[in-house]
Amino acid sequence: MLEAIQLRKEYGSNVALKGLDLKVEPGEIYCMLGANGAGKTTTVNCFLGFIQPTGGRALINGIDVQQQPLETKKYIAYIPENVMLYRNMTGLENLRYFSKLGGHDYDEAKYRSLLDECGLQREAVEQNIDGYSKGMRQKVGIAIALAKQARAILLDEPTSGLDPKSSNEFSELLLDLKSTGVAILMVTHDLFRAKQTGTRLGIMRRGELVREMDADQVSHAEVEQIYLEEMKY
Amino acid sequence: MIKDIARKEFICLIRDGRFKWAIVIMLLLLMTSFLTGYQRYQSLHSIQETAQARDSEQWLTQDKKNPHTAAHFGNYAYKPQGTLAFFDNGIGNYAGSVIWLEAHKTNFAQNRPAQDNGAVSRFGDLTPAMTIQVLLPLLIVLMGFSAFAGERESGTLRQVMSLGVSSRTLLLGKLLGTSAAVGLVALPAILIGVGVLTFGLPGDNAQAGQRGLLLLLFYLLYALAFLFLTLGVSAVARTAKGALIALIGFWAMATFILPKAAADISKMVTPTPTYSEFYHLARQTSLEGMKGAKGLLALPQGRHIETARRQLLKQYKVASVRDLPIYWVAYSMQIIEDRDYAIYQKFLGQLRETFFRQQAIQDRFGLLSPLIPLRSLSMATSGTGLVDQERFNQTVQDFRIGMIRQMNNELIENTTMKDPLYIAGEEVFGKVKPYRYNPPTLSESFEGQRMNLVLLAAWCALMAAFAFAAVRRLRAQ
Repeated sequence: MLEAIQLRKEYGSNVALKGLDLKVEPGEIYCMLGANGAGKTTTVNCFLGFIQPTGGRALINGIDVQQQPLETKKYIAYIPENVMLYRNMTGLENLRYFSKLGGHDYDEAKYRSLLDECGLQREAVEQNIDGYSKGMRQKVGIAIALAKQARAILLDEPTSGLDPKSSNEFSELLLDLKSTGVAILMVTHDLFRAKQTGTRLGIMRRGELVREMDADQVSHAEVEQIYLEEMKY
Repeated sequence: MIKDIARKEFICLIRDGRFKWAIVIMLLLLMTSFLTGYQRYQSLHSIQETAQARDSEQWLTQDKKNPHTAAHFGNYAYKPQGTLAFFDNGIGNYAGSVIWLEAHKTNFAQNRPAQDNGAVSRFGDLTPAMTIQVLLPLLIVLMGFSAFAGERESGTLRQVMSLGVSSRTLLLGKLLGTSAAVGLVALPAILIGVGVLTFGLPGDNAQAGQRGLLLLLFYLLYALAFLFLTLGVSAVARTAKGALIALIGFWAMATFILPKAAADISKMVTPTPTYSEFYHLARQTSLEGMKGAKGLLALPQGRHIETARRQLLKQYKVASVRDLPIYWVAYSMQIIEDRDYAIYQKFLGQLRETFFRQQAIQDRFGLLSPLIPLRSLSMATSGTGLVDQERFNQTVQDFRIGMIRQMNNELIENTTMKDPLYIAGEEVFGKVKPYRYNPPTLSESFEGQRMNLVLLAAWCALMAAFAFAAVRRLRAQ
């Protein structure tokens, strides 16, 4: 569903991605780990078409992002580290707006149930985003992704700033989505959450994917040990 | 989807506290300008009606006297305002609306409201046209500068673009949403304008409906040009603050600096003579003869009259003006009148050409500011531009020479040098009907406006092209 073929991105002399090869299949949660500046977010941005790769290709459902950026976005949803919403609108209004932009329109009950499913308190649904915490905004962001019924989801540090309970609920949501055949690429620093939720883990270092492993083949401790070893270099 | 984006844009704008203040201030200014425009129109109209009626009566009921002396008693010609003058009084403040008609003298239009204003009023009148021309673009800038740049900074643009919304759709949605918010301000203005035009104002309503529609079209194009510019700049600017600074800079240049510079430069390139210079030159030419002219006009005044006298004696086959069957003194005065009329016509024509050249130079600055073509088109449509003013000036001078000729002919035909006493009364003075201004038709008002029409449309088209090009390269971050 998501595929990077020799994906390369250079900023002058700085190489952010050095020919990345990656594949995320439907029903798979690929957790991309790595230090800051390793190229994780650059990878996500290439899939989103926000940056033009210097070389290689990013494919979504077999379609080249560079060649057909609007077409590829039909298949994906995106949840950034900080979901930014319109502060003069309520959570419900934001969800409805972004959902319509994503090509889906539902009745109000559906929107409310989506927000409910994502754990947003009912009394907050009709409050302006101005009064929302980061966690509450993340929940609306997740609801937007769910509303889009995307076949692939790109997540950039989605649980950063969420309390443990919300983070756990989020993981459960991802597992539900996985079971429906959605391909998920999640960039994260949270090794625990990655091991708990992911099907495959990849470690990025200085623009390269240096290690890949199946999540069920390693323990939490091993993931941490491997990660720290890779970060030594 | 465009509708959804427009709706969201509109909702966010009207819920924004800054917008609420901006809209209240703009509405207050618009209401005030409409009120003052209406009051000014009503007041001038009423003064003119009263003065015209009183002058006509004074002319008719003046003491019985020699018709030439009656011509010296004089009369006034008034330029009535078209109903749209309440919206845009154009050059009315500076050009004058009354001309004193008297024998032997060509006068300029007087009663310029600008003369009565203090130094603080030099900034300009608060007319609805001026309010919209200057403040509407500012409102658009304030509402639209963060449309893209602000969303990019806050991160919502990234969210929107990840959903696969095309930049073109986004631009059109934002254009519609911002337009709707601007419309909240413009709609009351349009309704008041239509209401006042339909029910509220006395005076000439000929073609007022068509003119009103044209005004609406021109101001719409102007607003669209600023809307596209604002959205385009917002799309390319790195920050909302940068977009605001650039747009405010352009607004100040386009609405204050360039129009003033255009006026000053046009006066430098084609200077106009002072009042005294004009009259001195015309008087000298009358006395000495017009250089380069053919016939009697080329002769000094004395020789011109002498030549005319000889021709008259020959025509009537008499040896002395005392033997003429007509009154020579009145005849010679009419000769001087006709001669001066021709000379003044030439100099007034040159002055008129200078004004039109100055206007043409100012209009060229329309390449740099959309306000300049709009201002010219607005004045032309409202019947308060140069074409209307010059038509008034010219028709009044034609009326004046007709009035003087009528009075002199009374003397010429009814008296002789041997029996010069002739006292006329109301039955003679009544032959001179009050001056009636016949305003130009719509197409006549638009003489010389083709370039301004093209420029205004070009501004709109170019800004639209700029905005579409800017969003084509829209960056999410």
